Amino acid sequence: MQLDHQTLESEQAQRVRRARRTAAAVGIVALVVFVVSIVQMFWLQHHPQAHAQAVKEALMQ
Amino acid sequence: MAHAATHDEHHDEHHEHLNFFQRWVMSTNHKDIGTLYLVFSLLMFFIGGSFAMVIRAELFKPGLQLVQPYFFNEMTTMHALVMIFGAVMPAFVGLGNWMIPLMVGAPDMALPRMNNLSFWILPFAFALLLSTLFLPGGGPAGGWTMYPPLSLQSASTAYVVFAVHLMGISSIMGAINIIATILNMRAPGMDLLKMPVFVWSWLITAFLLIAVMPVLAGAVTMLLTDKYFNTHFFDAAGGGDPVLFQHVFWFFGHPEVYIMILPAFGIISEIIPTFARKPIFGYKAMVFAIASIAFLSFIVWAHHMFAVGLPLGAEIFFMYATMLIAVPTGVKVFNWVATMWGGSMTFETPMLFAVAFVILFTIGGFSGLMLALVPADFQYHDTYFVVAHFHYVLVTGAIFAIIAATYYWIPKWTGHMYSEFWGKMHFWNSVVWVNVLFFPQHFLGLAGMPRRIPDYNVAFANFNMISSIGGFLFGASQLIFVGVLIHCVWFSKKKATDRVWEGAKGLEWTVPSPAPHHTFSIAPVVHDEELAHGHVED
Repeated sequence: MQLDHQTLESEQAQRVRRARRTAAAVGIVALVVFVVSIVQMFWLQHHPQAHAQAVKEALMQ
Repeated sequence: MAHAATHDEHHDEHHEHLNFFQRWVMSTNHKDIGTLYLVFSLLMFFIGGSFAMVIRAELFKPGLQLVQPYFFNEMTTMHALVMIFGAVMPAFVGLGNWMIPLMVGAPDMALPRMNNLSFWILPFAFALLLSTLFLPGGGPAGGWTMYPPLSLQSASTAYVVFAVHLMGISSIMGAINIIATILNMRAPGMDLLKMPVFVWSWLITAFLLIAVMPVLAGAVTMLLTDKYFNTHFFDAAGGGDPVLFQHVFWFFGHPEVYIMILPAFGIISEIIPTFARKPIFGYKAMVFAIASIAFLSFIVWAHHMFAVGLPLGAEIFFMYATMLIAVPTGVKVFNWVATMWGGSMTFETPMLFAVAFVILFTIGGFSGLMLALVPADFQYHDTYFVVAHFHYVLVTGAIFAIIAATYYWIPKWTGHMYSEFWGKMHFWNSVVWVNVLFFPQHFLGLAGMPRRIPDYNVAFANFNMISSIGGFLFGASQLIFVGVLIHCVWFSKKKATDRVWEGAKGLEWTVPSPAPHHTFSIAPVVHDEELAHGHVED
């Protein structure tokens, strides 16, 4: 029979386990934000016409 | 509670056997790490302050007096970097480390070893940053905003970028820890809408940090690759655009301003109810106002860039979005006043700093509203008016709140009362001289004096001299603070009671003073009447 170890944990141990899971999730979000901030600049570099159009529109006003 | 206290005392016995290295370098205890952050922050406050003294000495009268222009630019750049990342942010993290577990009834932070690492990265980051001042070619001198191409002309770009990376990693790990602690480690009964406002303010701030510190890391990484790896993200000659850096930087930079002020709002929301002997007025409105300010902080970044040539529609959007922030901020200011209204108020040092915060931060808020107006900003942009504005927000706002928090909680940390007389001396000197220092800078800015210059037109001489005198005396006033702290920690004979302040409520006041090394090893029972903000209606 499979023993459910989580039911044997103290409340405090459960809180710490959940906290580690939260920390991992938040850490992944931070990493994704870092990657996206660089990737969007790469995208702009490879779509110069989109960037040039935006700059042109800004300067026309 | 009595049972929990006995248990805590038993746990305390073994930390007595730790040597200095084990206690302070290898510590995983939230109180010790909080103390380390606060001491580090104080050290950085004086290093950053000494740079400010150089700036004000040079600007004491027109003409080049003491330092070369490049060194002056290094001073303005380093003053900002050290004060923002070395003094204000670590101070709030230190206060959060000390108080969040105590306030939510947790035995420690959720990830104690990561907490240790978060702190110990910082001394290395700042050693790296400050070492650039002694390197051939000098330190960064392009302003804390690091705009290319100017910032890329410095010989120290790589050092600064790595230092910023280290600070960012430290901040992100600190934020992860705070989020994990608040969301998972609260004592039974400490529901989210029963948490102290300080805890709420830090939870929201931690989410801001997670959202924007990686963006700063991305921006400076691209600076590094532009300089050393032949990329052209921000290099117009290679098809890049330097204005893009400004967009990315300020997408981090504006929320960063709120990272430095939201925990201050939390602190003031703890102190005013205590000394007005009333629950905070509009607890839920205070929490939602902090959340609203945090949300709005993501959609206002381009108000720092009105002068670069944005499309008109964008300028109007960012102007109105910025002005919208005045609404939740106004809610907070009115609620602090309403908390004081009809209260049985006393004016101990923490309350004096808190009341000064409400008044002077509001002045900084109003000048911010003036800067939010696109046509007006074209006039004010890059003048001393901006310098006056953000110093009212960050010195009489963030730093006054940190000082208020220190006076408020230091009896709980040390078990001793500080000298009220010298605390008040510190307050009155600070509040007078900080206004002598920064208020004339509004007039200088309106008259057209640009920021970040070592020399200026003789027309600006009088106000600059007044400002410098205020600067020297405000700096000297902070030595009183150090004296009060040293006296309180090592020499004060007056013992602090557990509750310390008559009107203080919350779990942190149920533990002995000084707070034992380990607290809440057994989760406390939370009673509604013990909460700082009284009973919250469902």
